[in-house]
Amino acid sequence: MVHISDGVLPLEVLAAGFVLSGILLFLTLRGVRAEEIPRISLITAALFVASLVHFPVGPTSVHLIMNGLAGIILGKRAFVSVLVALTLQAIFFQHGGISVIGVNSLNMGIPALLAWQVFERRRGFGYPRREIVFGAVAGAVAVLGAVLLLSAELLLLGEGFSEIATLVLMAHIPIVIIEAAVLGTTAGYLDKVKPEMLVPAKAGQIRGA
Amino acid sequence: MNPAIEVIGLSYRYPDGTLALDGVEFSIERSTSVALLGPNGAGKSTLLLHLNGLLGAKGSVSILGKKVEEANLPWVRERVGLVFQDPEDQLFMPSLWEDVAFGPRNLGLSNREVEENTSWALKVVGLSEMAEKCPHNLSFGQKKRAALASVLSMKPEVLVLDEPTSNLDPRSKEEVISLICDLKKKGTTILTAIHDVNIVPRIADQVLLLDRRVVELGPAREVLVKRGLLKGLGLDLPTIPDLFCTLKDDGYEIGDIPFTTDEALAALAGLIEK
Amino acid sequence: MSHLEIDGYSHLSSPIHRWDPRVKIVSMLVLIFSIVLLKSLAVALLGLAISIGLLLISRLPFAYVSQGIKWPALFLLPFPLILPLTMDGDMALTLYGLSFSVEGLEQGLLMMTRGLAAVVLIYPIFGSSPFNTTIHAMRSLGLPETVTQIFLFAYRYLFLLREQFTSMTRSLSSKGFTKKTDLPTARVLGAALGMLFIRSYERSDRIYKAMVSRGYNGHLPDSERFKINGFDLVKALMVLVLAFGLQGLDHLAVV
Ligand SMILES: Nc1ncnc2c1ncn2[C@@H]1O[C@H](COP(=O)(O)OP(=O)(O)OP(=O)(O)O)[C@@H](O)[C@H]1O
Ligand SMILES: [Mg+2]
Repeated sequence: MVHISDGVLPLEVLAAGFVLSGILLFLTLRGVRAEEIPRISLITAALFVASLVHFPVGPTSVHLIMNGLAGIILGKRAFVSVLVALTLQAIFFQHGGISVIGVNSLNMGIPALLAWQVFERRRGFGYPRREIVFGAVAGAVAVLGAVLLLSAELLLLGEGFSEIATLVLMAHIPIVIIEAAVLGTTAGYLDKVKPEMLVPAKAGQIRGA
Repeated sequence: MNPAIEVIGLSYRYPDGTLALDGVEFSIERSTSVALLGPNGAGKSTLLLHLNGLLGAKGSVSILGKKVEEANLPWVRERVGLVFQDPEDQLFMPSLWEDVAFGPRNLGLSNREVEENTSWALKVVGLSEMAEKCPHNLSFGQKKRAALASVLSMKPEVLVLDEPTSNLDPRSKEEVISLICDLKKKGTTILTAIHDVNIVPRIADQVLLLDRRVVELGPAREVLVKRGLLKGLGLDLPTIPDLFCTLKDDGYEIGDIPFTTDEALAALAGLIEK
Repeated sequence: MSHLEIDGYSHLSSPIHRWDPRVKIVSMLVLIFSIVLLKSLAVALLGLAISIGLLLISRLPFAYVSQGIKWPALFLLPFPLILPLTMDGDMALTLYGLSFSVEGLEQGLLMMTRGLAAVVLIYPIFGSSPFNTTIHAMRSLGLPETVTQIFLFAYRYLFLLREQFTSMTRSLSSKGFTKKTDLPTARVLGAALGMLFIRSYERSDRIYKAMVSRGYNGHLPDSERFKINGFDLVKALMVLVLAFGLQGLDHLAVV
């Protein structure tokens, strides 16, 4: 749902999407070590599988997005993960499209990085269930960020699009809530079962310097 | 000549605190085939990872006379082929051919040599027809053999196998066994972690019993009849020697304990004559 | 979910299947960009016709394509439905107190047409070669090596992880779990996803060990050799003529 399709955005936005994605890709992938490559790949595959999961909303269902989870596991390497997962989705399910891979990667990847930063802030708190709380906030931030970016791009299209932008925003409010609830639980679960997956910058850890 | 594998005072503790190896010491001569037996969690897989320098710990491991340490790693990994327990971990490339060619390519072989080694290894495990398939679409037995091929293509002098026959049907099991026997005949040093004791007499000259430390290392035919020792580790005797050891304990006169069907038949015939 | 097999028909034979993947990707991408940037509805419809024509040439079964087009169609539908109500236009027509602008309808249909045309083209591009070949082709077109590897390995393990996750959820439902719109459902799914990610993480460790033990140092020797022949270039020329032709017509139509 958060993916924008081919055929909607003008050249300037498409081009900016690719250029900025390229720059971000370069910056977030710098200094990547051999051992990180299989890890990023497998988390990307898991991210893709997670996005196949449907969550019921009344009579319909929405599929999960989970860009926030990529952020809290991979740190800055989440950007390439989101980009690859989105490209695979564009090719396999036509979610989004080829000409908008750049834009969609920014829409989902920047909030994933933001979610990571939000999640890192938990360190200052002694509260025992902080992973759940910060995980939930990170999940909400990641989806909300993605939707806001998408709506902003629709607004760029000019008069007549503000209603559609609002509609998109409204339609995603349940998804924001669901992702917050799911990601909060996932983060709590990871913290209990495999806390090293959430550990940041340290020698031998994936976060990178 | 230096032994193929020499391990001295090896201990390893996983980050979560589990002590998996505790002062392991043994050495294996070249061109011998050794079966590594031990209950679940005995540290077999952990030990095998050390032989390739994938885990580093207290103590030392030497391969063909060279110590496994940072500077020697490429040299060691070229000579020690390690086949993992789960073939899905080992077959990470998108097609079988690319997977089997992965090792030779990293060794820096020429394109022709890569091609030769790859098609040879696929032929040996009987998967030549499947070269272009995605590993995901192979059957489990084929995956196990494919994992073996991906290591054989590097023509290692020391072959380390982690449960190569587990979960295989009888035919696939036979294929893997005869493959191991062939390699053994060619002089490859082989160390096989295995749960199926009945296979051990067929593939191994020696048996290494492990339970965080070395419990016993000796000729297969001597170790595999030590009932108390094996039972103590929760292991079984192979069926045939088990039967004849029981007969012997019951007072029947049996010379050498038979291991193969033929030997058993001969021994039975002897018993009946008496 | 059978749709993970985008390359399920890559074994067919057609002029598109026989096309060198690199030349194919580049020329078809140019065509996609040309189409998504069109401004005239009439020309965009022509673009859609061209896409469908290329799809027909590729001999990919229609049923399999139409299944995948549902999603983008759903996303694009609001544009022709809502824009007539929200956009101002000269030729507004009023019905039951609502004013519809023809311009809005045109704009909406234009977006929908461009989008569908671009989506249809995904099939001839990515359905006509094994996906791994496509990844190798993208690498030789300049995709950074690290990103190429992530594509290859992620694609390799996608199926395995999906199977694991399916069997996990199946065992959940055999224990009586049903999805509802409530917090307990979110908790159960959250834990199942946590498990999925933990297994993936642990597997990546073992895979890395398997890689390193066979000499991996972060690089993947480039293996695939592509050869371009005259036919490849002729096909490319034809597609490029279509792409630029559409843009030319568009300029004429808009001015
Ligand atoms: N990555 C790990 N982190 C923590 N502990 C581990 C890890 N891998 C193994 N262990 C523990 O180390 C011990 C030895 O495990 P290992 O896998 O070497 O046994 P094994 O003899 O191969 O068992 P099996 O016959 O089941 O394959 C076990 O107690 C196991 O739980
Ligand atoms: Mg083991």
